[in-house]
Amino acid sequence: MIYLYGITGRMTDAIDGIGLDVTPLQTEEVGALTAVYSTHKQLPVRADADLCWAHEAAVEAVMRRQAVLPARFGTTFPDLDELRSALLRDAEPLHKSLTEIDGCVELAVRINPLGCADGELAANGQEYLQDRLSEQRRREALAKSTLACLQEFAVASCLAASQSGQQSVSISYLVKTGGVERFSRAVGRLQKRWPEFGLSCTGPWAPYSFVANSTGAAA
Amino acid sequence: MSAAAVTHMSSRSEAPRHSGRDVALVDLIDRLLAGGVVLGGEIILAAADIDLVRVDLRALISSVPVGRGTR
Repeated sequence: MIYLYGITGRMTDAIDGIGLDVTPLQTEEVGALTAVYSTHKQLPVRADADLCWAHEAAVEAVMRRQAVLPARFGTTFPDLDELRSALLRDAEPLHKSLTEIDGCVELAVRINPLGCADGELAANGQEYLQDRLSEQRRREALAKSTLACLQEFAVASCLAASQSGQQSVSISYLVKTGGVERFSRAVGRLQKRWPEFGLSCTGPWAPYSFVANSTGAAA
Repeated sequence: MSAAAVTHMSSRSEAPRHSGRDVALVDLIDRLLAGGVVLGGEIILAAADIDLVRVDLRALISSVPVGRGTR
Protein backbone atom coordinates (compact mmCIF):
# COMPACT_ATOMS: atom_id res chain seq x y z
CA MET A 1 0.00 0.00 0.00
CA ILE A 2 1.17 3.49 -0.86
CA TYR A 3 0.62 6.28 1.61
CA LEU A 4 0.82 9.73 0.02
CA TYR A 5 2.16 12.79 1.87
CA GLY A 6 2.27 15.36 -0.85
CA ILE A 7 2.96 16.43 -4.40
CA THR A 8 5.81 18.66 -5.41
CA GLY A 9 7.74 19.61 -8.49
CA ARG A 10 10.90 17.94 -9.74
CA MET A 11 13.36 17.17 -6.98
CA THR A 12 17.03 17.41 -7.71
CA ASP A 13 18.20 15.41 -4.70
CA ALA A 14 16.85 12.37 -2.94
CA ILE A 15 14.71 13.21 0.03
CA ASP A 16 15.84 12.17 3.45
CA GLY A 17 13.03 11.68 5.92
CA ILE A 18 10.63 9.25 7.52
CA GLY A 19 6.92 8.92 7.33
CA LEU A 20 4.19 7.04 9.14
CA ASP A 21 5.24 3.96 11.03
CA VAL A 22 8.88 5.14 10.79
CA THR A 23 9.14 4.17 7.14
CA PRO A 24 11.49 6.00 4.79
CA LEU A 25 10.09 8.57 2.41
CA GLN A 26 10.17 7.66 -1.27
CA THR A 27 9.53 9.68 -4.38
CA GLU A 28 7.98 8.96 -7.75
CA GLU A 29 8.43 11.38 -10.61
CA VAL A 30 5.64 11.69 -13.13
CA GLY A 31 6.34 14.35 -15.72
CA ALA A 32 7.24 17.52 -13.87
CA LEU A 33 5.53 16.36 -10.68
CA THR A 34 6.91 14.28 -7.86
CA ALA A 35 4.85 12.31 -5.38
CA VAL A 36 6.28 11.83 -1.90
CA TYR A 37 5.06 8.62 -0.31
CA SER A 38 5.92 5.63 1.83
CA THR A 39 5.21 1.95 1.25
CA HIS A 40 3.45 -0.26 3.78
CA LYS A 41 2.27 -3.83 3.96
CA GLN A 42 -0.51 -2.63 6.16
CA LEU A 43 -1.14 0.63 7.87
CA PRO A 44 -4.00 1.38 10.22
CA VAL A 45 -4.48 5.11 9.77
CA ARG A 46 -5.95 6.77 12.79
CA ALA A 47 -6.26 10.48 13.37
CA ASP A 48 -4.21 10.36 16.53
CA ALA A 49 -1.53 12.78 17.56
CA ASP A 50 1.46 10.63 16.65
CA LEU A 51 0.32 9.84 13.12
CA CYS A 52 -0.78 13.40 12.48
CA TRP A 53 2.62 14.74 13.50
CA ALA A 54 4.35 12.04 11.45
CA HIS A 55 2.36 13.06 8.36
CA GLU A 56 3.18 16.69 9.03
CA ALA A 57 6.89 15.97 9.54
CA ALA A 58 7.04 14.25 6.15
CA VAL A 59 5.30 17.17 4.47
CA GLU A 60 7.66 19.59 6.17
CA ALA A 61 10.68 17.63 4.98
CA VAL A 62 9.61 18.56 1.47
CA MET A 63 8.40 22.03 2.37
CA ARG A 64 11.84 22.96 3.66
CA ARG A 65 13.19 22.45 0.15
CA GLN A 66 10.44 23.53 -2.21
CA ALA A 67 6.74 24.16 -2.65
CA VAL A 68 4.53 21.20 -1.81
CA LEU A 69 0.86 20.38 -2.07
CA PRO A 70 0.13 18.44 1.11
CA ALA A 71 -2.12 15.43 0.63
CA ARG A 72 -5.27 14.87 2.63
CA PHE A 73 -4.45 12.81 5.71
CA GLY A 74 -5.13 9.13 5.05
CA THR A 75 -4.70 9.20 1.26
CA THR A 76 -3.59 5.77 0.05
CA PHE A 77 -3.19 3.92 -3.24
CA PRO A 78 -3.03 0.18 -3.75
CA ASP A 79 0.16 0.47 -5.80
CA LEU A 80 2.45 2.88 -7.65
CA ASP A 81 0.60 2.47 -10.94
CA GLU A 82 -2.56 3.86 -9.38
CA LEU A 83 -0.64 6.77 -7.95
CA ARG A 84 1.00 7.50 -11.29
CA SER A 85 -2.36 7.41 -13.03
CA ALA A 86 -3.82 9.89 -10.57
CA LEU A 87 -0.88 12.24 -11.06
CA LEU A 88 -1.16 12.03 -14.83
CA ARG A 89 -4.88 12.64 -14.74
CA ASP A 90 -4.62 15.73 -12.53
CA ALA A 91 -1.25 17.03 -13.70
CA GLU A 92 -2.56 20.32 -15.01
CA PRO A 93 -4.52 21.49 -11.94
CA LEU A 94 -1.74 20.24 -9.68
CA HIS A 95 0.81 22.32 -11.59
CA LYS A 96 -1.44 25.33 -11.36
CA SER A 97 -1.91 24.87 -7.64
CA LEU A 98 1.81 24.44 -7.06
CA THR A 99 2.45 27.70 -8.85
CA GLU A 100 -0.19 29.48 -6.80
CA ILE A 101 1.20 28.47 -3.44
CA ASP A 102 4.87 28.71 -4.34
CA GLY A 103 6.66 30.93 -1.84
CA CYS A 104 3.73 30.90 0.56
CA VAL A 105 2.92 29.21 3.84
CA GLU A 106 -0.27 28.81 5.80
CA LEU A 107 -0.83 30.42 9.17
CA ALA A 108 -3.71 29.50 11.44
CA VAL A 109 -5.37 32.11 13.60
CA ARG A 110 -7.72 30.73 16.21
CA ILE A 111 -10.14 32.75 18.25
CA ASN A 112 -10.78 31.61 21.76
CA PRO A 113 -14.34 30.43 22.37
CA LEU A 114 -16.05 32.85 24.66
CA GLY A 115 -18.67 30.59 26.14
CA CYS A 116 -20.82 31.23 29.16
CA ALA A 117 -18.76 32.31 32.08
CA ASP A 118 -18.02 29.45 34.40
CA GLY A 119 -20.57 29.26 37.16
CA GLU A 120 -23.20 31.13 35.22
CA LEU A 121 -25.49 28.30 34.39
CA ALA A 122 -28.45 28.96 32.20
CA ALA A 123 -31.72 28.94 34.08
CA ASN A 124 -33.44 26.78 31.50
CA GLY A 125 -33.03 25.23 28.08
CA GLN A 126 -34.23 28.28 26.21
CA GLU A 127 -31.76 30.53 27.98
CA TYR A 128 -29.02 28.03 27.30
CA LEU A 129 -29.77 28.01 23.60
CA GLN A 130 -29.94 31.79 23.52
CA ASP A 131 -26.55 31.97 25.24
CA ARG A 132 -25.11 29.56 22.71
CA LEU A 133 -26.52 31.54 19.81
CA SER A 134 -25.27 34.81 21.24
CA GLU A 135 -21.84 33.30 21.79
CA GLN A 136 -21.73 31.99 18.24
CA ARG A 137 -22.67 35.39 16.83
CA ARG A 138 -19.98 37.11 18.85
CA ARG A 139 -17.42 34.63 17.64
CA GLU A 140 -18.48 35.08 14.04
CA ALA A 141 -18.38 38.86 14.37
CA LEU A 142 -14.90 38.68 15.81
CA ALA A 143 -13.85 36.29 13.09
CA LYS A 144 -15.01 38.74 10.44
CA SER A 145 -13.16 41.58 12.12
CA THR A 146 -10.04 39.46 12.36
CA LEU A 147 -10.34 38.46 8.77
CA ALA A 148 -10.60 42.08 7.70
CA CYS A 149 -7.67 43.25 9.83
CA LEU A 150 -5.26 40.55 8.77
CA GLN A 151 -6.29 40.24 5.16
CA GLU A 152 -3.92 42.94 4.02
CA PHE A 153 -0.98 40.84 5.21
CA ALA A 154 -2.10 37.71 3.38
CA VAL A 155 -2.42 36.45 -0.15
CA ALA A 156 -5.65 34.62 0.63
CA SER A 157 -7.72 33.53 3.60
CA CYS A 158 -10.58 31.25 4.50
CA LEU A 159 -12.57 30.21 7.53
CA ALA A 160 -11.57 26.73 8.63
CA ALA A 161 -14.15 24.22 9.74
CA SER A 162 -13.27 22.55 13.00
CA GLN A 163 -12.55 18.85 12.63
CA SER A 164 -11.37 18.45 16.17
CA GLY A 165 -14.56 19.17 18.01
CA GLN A 166 -13.42 22.56 19.19
CA GLN A 167 -15.86 25.45 19.37
CA SER A 168 -13.28 28.06 18.55
CA VAL A 169 -13.21 29.85 15.22
CA SER A 170 -10.17 29.24 13.09
CA ILE A 171 -9.10 31.25 10.08
CA SER A 172 -6.44 30.11 7.64
CA TYR A 173 -4.18 32.63 5.93
CA LEU A 174 -1.92 32.08 2.97
CA VAL A 175 1.08 34.31 3.60
CA LYS A 176 4.26 34.94 1.66
CA THR A 177 7.14 33.28 3.44
CA GLY A 178 8.87 36.61 3.86
CA GLY A 179 5.76 38.13 5.40
CA VAL A 180 5.28 35.72 8.29
CA GLU A 181 6.85 37.94 10.90
CA ARG A 182 4.91 40.97 9.75
CA PHE A 183 1.72 38.93 9.92
CA SER A 184 2.45 37.66 13.40
CA ARG A 185 3.13 41.18 14.62
CA ALA A 186 -0.30 42.13 13.28
CA VAL A 187 -1.83 39.27 15.27
CA GLY A 188 -0.08 40.58 18.35
CA ARG A 189 -1.54 44.03 17.78
CA LEU A 190 -4.95 42.47 17.33
CA GLN A 191 -4.63 40.68 20.63
CA LYS A 192 -3.80 43.97 22.38
CA ARG A 193 -6.78 45.58 20.74
CA TRP A 194 -9.12 42.87 21.98
CA PRO A 195 -7.63 41.73 25.26
CA GLU A 196 -10.87 40.07 26.24
CA PHE A 197 -10.38 37.48 23.51
CA GLY A 198 -7.68 34.92 23.28
CA LEU A 199 -6.00 34.59 19.92
CA SER A 200 -3.50 31.99 18.90
CA CYS A 201 -1.46 31.90 15.74
CA THR A 202 0.31 28.74 14.66
CA GLY A 203 2.40 27.93 11.67
CA PRO A 204 3.97 28.06 9.23
CA TRP A 205 2.07 25.06 7.91
CA ALA A 206 2.03 23.66 4.42
CA PRO A 207 -0.93 25.25 2.63
CA TYR A 208 -3.47 22.54 3.52
CA SER A 209 -6.43 24.90 3.40
CA PHE A 210 -5.62 26.33 0.00
CA VAL A 211 -5.08 23.23 -2.08
CA ALA A 212 -8.09 21.08 -1.23
CA ASN A 213 -9.75 21.80 -4.54
CA SER A 214 -6.66 21.39 -6.66
CA THR A 215 -8.03 18.38 -8.49
CA GLY A 216 -11.31 17.17 -9.78
CA ALA A 217 -11.38 14.36 -7.26
CA ALA A 218 -14.26 14.41 -4.83
CA ALA A 219 -13.27 15.29 -1.31
CA MET B 1 11.86 33.20 11.65
CA SER B 2 12.95 35.26 14.57
CA ALA B 3 10.88 36.14 17.57
CA ALA B 4 7.38 36.37 16.32
CA ALA B 5 3.84 35.93 17.47
CA VAL B 6 3.67 32.70 15.57
CA THR B 7 3.79 29.70 17.78
CA HIS B 8 4.98 26.93 15.60
CA MET B 9 5.21 23.33 16.62
CA SER B 10 6.60 22.04 13.42
CA SER B 11 7.11 18.45 14.33
CA ARG B 12 6.71 16.17 17.24
CA SER B 13 10.35 16.15 18.11
CA GLU B 14 10.64 19.90 17.99
CA ALA B 15 7.44 20.63 19.81
CA PRO B 16 7.77 22.12 23.23
CA ARG B 17 5.86 20.28 25.89
CA HIS B 18 3.56 23.05 26.90
CA SER B 19 0.01 23.89 26.17
CA GLY B 20 0.88 25.63 22.93
CA ARG B 21 1.66 22.28 21.40
CA ASP B 22 -1.91 21.19 22.04
CA VAL B 23 -3.19 24.27 20.29
CA ALA B 24 -0.93 23.49 17.35
CA LEU B 25 -2.19 19.91 17.30
CA VAL B 26 -5.77 21.13 17.09
CA ASP B 27 -4.81 23.40 14.21
CA LEU B 28 -2.94 20.56 12.52
CA ILE B 29 -5.81 18.09 12.82
CA ASP B 30 -8.27 20.62 11.46
CA ARG B 31 -6.06 20.98 8.41
CA LEU B 32 -5.15 17.34 7.93
CA LEU B 33 -8.72 16.14 8.02
CA ALA B 34 -10.35 18.87 5.99
CA GLY B 35 -7.53 20.24 3.86
CA GLY B 36 -4.87 18.91 1.57
CA VAL B 37 -5.04 17.65 -1.95
CA VAL B 38 -7.52 14.88 -2.64
CA LEU B 39 -5.90 13.04 -5.48
CA GLY B 40 -8.35 10.31 -6.16
CA GLY B 41 -6.75 7.70 -4.01
CA GLU B 42 -8.62 6.07 -1.22
CA ILE B 43 -8.82 7.94 2.03
CA ILE B 44 -8.70 5.45 4.83
CA LEU B 45 -9.22 6.61 8.32
CA ALA B 46 -9.96 4.44 11.27
CA ALA B 47 -12.36 5.71 13.87
CA ALA B 48 -10.91 9.05 14.78
CA ASP B 49 -9.12 8.81 18.06
CA ILE B 50 -8.66 12.46 18.80
CA ASP B 51 -9.50 12.59 22.44
CA LEU B 52 -6.00 13.86 23.03
CA VAL B 53 -6.90 17.20 21.61
CA ARG B 54 -10.19 17.65 23.37
CA VAL B 55 -8.55 20.06 25.69
CA ASP B 56 -9.76 23.16 27.33
CA LEU B 57 -8.81 25.65 24.69
CA ARG B 58 -10.22 28.53 26.60
CA ALA B 59 -7.48 28.03 29.13
CA LEU B 60 -4.87 26.96 26.64
CA ILE B 61 -5.11 29.69 24.10
CA SER B 62 -4.85 32.43 26.63
CA SER B 63 -1.60 30.90 27.79
CA VAL B 64 -0.06 30.41 24.39
CA PRO B 65 3.17 32.30 24.52
CA VAL B 66 3.72 34.73 21.74
CA GLY B 67 7.28 35.24 20.88
CA ARG B 68 8.51 31.77 20.18
CA GLY B 69 9.36 31.33 16.55
CA THR B 70 11.01 28.13 15.50
CA ARG B 71 11.63 28.57 11.86
